[in-house]
Amino acid sequence: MKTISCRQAVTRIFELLLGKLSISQKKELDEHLRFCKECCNRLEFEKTLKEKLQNVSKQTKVPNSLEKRIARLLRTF
Amino acid sequence: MGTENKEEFSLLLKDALAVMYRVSLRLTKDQMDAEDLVAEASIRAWEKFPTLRNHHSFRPWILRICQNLYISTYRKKQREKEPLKESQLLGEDEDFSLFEQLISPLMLDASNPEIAFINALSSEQITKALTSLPEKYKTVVMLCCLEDLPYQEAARILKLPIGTVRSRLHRGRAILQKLLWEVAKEKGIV
Repeated sequence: MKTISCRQAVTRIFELLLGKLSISQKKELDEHLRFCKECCNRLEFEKTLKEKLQNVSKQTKVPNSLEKRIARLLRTF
Repeated sequence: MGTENKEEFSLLLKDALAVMYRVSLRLTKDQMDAEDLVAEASIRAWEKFPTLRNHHSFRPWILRICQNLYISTYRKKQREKEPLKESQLLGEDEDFSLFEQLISPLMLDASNPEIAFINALSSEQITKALTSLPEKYKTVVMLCCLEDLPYQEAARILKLPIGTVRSRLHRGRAILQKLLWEVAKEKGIV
């Protein structure tokens, strides 16, 4: 199996978090992570940061005023 | 259009409403403008609904309508509100990683400084950083990172080549991390 550098591993960490890593790329990343604590920590960090950003973003609820407006609109269609 | 079409449109629109509002709010930075944008996009989508062949593509399709309407109607107004230029946030060839800042020797007094940093950030601080992202990066970060849309869908919505979506995502992520770092410094978190 091809070994990858920390720089390549970081790129793959971002791809992994976007769900865009192929099986072979994932295997190469896993192999790198077995021996590189810093990249393991990086993965944990980027994953936690992404979850926090998503949670904050999803706290934004559709205002009642907009829901009512859309319901009114739909009745006119 | 028939009742069946109307019912399907209603269901699809209700399903997409939250993401439409989140994206519109980040773009317009104003609740009333975001509501207007969503409502206008809904009207336009209803008019064009018969042309949508694959109803599974409704979400990217209506987000694209939102994006186009924003560009044609709201962007000029927003530009006046744009607080910072991209170059003020991150130099052209500069990269930025929060992780690398946080593992610097100065930060090693905390047991797990990088995770402690994330936990210390408030919703308001994160929202402020997201809102401050320059527009061309904000939409890509929103769609790919926060809404988990595939590159292809983001590229279709934004009418950009996939390579541009990828490069904007990379730079947008770096700018967002720099903004979070600045917000954290301002609030005394780091």
